[in-house]
Amino acid sequence: MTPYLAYFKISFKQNTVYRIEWVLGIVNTCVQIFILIAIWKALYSGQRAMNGIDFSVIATNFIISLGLSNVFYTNDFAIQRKLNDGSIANELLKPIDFRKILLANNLGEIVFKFFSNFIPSLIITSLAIGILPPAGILALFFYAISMVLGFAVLWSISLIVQMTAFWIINVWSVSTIKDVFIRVLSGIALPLWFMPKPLLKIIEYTPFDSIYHIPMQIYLGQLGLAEIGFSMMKQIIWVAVLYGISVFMWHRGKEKIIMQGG
Amino acid sequence: MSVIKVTDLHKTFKVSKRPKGLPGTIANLFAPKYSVKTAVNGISFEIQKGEAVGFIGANGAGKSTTIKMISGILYPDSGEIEALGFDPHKQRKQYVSHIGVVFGQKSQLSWDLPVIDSFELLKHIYRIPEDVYDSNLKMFTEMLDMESFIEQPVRQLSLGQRMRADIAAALLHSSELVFFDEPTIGLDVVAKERIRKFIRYMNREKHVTMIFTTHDMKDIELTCDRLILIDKGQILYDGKVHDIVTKYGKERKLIVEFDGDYEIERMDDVVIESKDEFKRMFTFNCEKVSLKHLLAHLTDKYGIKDFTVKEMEIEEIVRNIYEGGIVL
Amino acid sequence: MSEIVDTLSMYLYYVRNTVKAWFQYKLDACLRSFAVFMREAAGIIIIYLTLKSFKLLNGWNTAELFFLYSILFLTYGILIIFFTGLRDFEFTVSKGDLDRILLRPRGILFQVLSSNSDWFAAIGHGGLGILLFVISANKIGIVWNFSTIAYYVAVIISGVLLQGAMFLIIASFSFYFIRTGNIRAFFYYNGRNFAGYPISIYPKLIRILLIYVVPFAFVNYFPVQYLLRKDDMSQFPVAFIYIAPFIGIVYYTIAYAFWRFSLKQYKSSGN
Repeated sequence: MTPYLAYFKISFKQNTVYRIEWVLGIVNTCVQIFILIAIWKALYSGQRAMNGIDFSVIATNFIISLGLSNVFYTNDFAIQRKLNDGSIANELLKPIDFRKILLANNLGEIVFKFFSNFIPSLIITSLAIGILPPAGILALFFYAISMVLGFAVLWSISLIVQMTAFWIINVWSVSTIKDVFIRVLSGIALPLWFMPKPLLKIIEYTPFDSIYHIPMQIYLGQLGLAEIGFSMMKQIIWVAVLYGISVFMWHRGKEKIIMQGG
Repeated sequence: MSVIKVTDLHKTFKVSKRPKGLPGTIANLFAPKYSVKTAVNGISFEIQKGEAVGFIGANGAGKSTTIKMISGILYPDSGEIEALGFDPHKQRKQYVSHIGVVFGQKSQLSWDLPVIDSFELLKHIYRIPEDVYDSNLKMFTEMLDMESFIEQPVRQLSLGQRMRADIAAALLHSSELVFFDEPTIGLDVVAKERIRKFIRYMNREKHVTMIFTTHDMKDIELTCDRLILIDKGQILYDGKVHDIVTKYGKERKLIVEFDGDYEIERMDDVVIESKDEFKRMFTFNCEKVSLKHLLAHLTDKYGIKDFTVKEMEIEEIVRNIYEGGIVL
Repeated sequence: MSEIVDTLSMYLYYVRNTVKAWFQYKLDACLRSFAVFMREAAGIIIIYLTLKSFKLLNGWNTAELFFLYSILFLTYGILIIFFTGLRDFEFTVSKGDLDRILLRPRGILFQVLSSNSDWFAAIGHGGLGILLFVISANKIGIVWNFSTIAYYVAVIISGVLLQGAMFLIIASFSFYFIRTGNIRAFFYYNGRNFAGYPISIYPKLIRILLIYVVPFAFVNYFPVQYLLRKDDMSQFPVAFIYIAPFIGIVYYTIAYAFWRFSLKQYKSSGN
């Protein structure tokens, strides 16, 4: 356990070095949230609710989900970097699992950003705009779990993207396209309650609503207990499926490397 | 007129203090601390055309700062610099079109492109006339033996090849003054000698003024005629390479191989070390102790099979100067 | 005159070299363009889907919003052809290449600008801009005659210069501290994100920022208002519409002065 903790600590410390970046990071997040709130305020043109959705729901969605999306950082390039500088060989030889190191590293960064970026942004935006509290202690509890599951889905998608490094030169394109899909379909820019119905039906069969939307629904108390269970199950299944794909790709990728002799 | 004239140069830097530990790191986010470091503290010298001068100094002693100021990258807090008749800072573009710089650690060539393409680019950048470019290129290709790799991308070259290409690049525009920063670092003996030979040629036959900053004493010994030692922002020694040896290299080492394991009697002003069963090393100051007498003395009293005499190496001399062992 | 020809041919030479190096990686290049295209199209797709439920945003319909957006992409596409070097300047500094630039007998900014050109970002953004323009230009009721076309061309150029000025200022920060990525993200990219929508939807503070600090309002909003005269223009001085074509060069001049000043600071502090 302790080697992973060391990576976590280093990652945490590295992030404290750049103070200006820290402040700008918070401002950045708040700005993104403000833009969307401004747009939706104009869209609502003064009405309190549209299609049965209160404006405060929209605001909460942006503050929390969009805020989290700035925190849930995944390094899509880790494997590509290792392939490029040849240190992939080290990773195949080390006793510790390379992917766990990656996760530990990332978690260090995420926990840091959670406190240095998300919490301040949350405070600023909820004071300025107003946020809905969780729909009860139980909702908050389930939300926390669901949010972690949501991140796990995101992480698994990232692993798949990382694995493509074994086959294409620059993972950047795949990573960017993946980000586009998440941005458009996961509800952080267009809350899924307003997604055109046909498209929404499709999204429900993809992992995209499992990242931010399902947790948000739980937080807002939009789901009954059974529905919560069902939704979290869906998240878990997606994690399993996506992670499984990444493992498959990892093995095929390793073979490719070993065959080519590095 | 001197090629470089430096008068009473001063330069200080603000250095941010790195905090220790996690609480310090967080505090540093809010209130960063700085300390003032004096890098150059009153340096003056003149360099004439055709000289090859080596700058030696510990890291942080001020030598790279001085070089940066002469090349125009940095400007001094006070003092004057005149190089090739220009003010390196105020007349940058005119000045740099006559100088070349070789960074041993970092190539100026385009990584992905063939060497010749980088040369062509330099031809454009420096507005080198076609005939000058052609004749220089031909001369360098021949002397540095670049024919075999001049069409290859830089990333495929060995360190030695890349270094040769970089040196050619620095001289392509017929530069009158060239700065070398660690030009032979990481190279094998053969490659080093090839480069030193070329550098000597350009310096002695073509009268290109050269300045070297390096930790490699052999570079200095074999290519420079003048040596400037910098320590703590000031010049400790400025004179001929040869002189520093004759003036300060007083120490001699006499290594004797005896025919038996003798207990050598102690002598005044001579340090005796055991190198082996039968070998002893005698270290002494050749002004205090006569080599002739010492040898005679030893031959008389003991059976000698073989001996060698070693002079001090520049490296040792310099180290001694720094450690205060030699006072200038 | 021969100076200009010399400089131009040098620039073209750089360009040729850059493209040459780039075509070493063909597939990667295509994927890249597509990825950039998709990333920028995301914003468009989101507006489109959002407006399916709402129809109007402060009186602007989908076609008008597309037109507003298209100018951002068109100007950025042109911008990035020339200013890629500035965009990546912080890496030039951190890699230590700035010293090499200072040792060459050419203008510093000239070397930085000619060193790179992200053609693929240009094609990605420019292509999207052209596409949006084509989709929307004849649906919004603009009469394209000599004066409207002249105005449009002028504001495109001004828009490029305005954004070039922003790049210059941000790149200048590299002379002071190392990482500018976040600054650019904050000022430039957020500014641009704001400008994707009519600025009338924003609170006063934001509008002021978009007019006086990161003047994206002059890149697309006021120019489009010249052509469309939507109702929400009443909240702003009409003069803004007329100064839009000229403000680019003014801002650029100021930015250049700051660049020169910052370069001096760099040469004094010694990185």
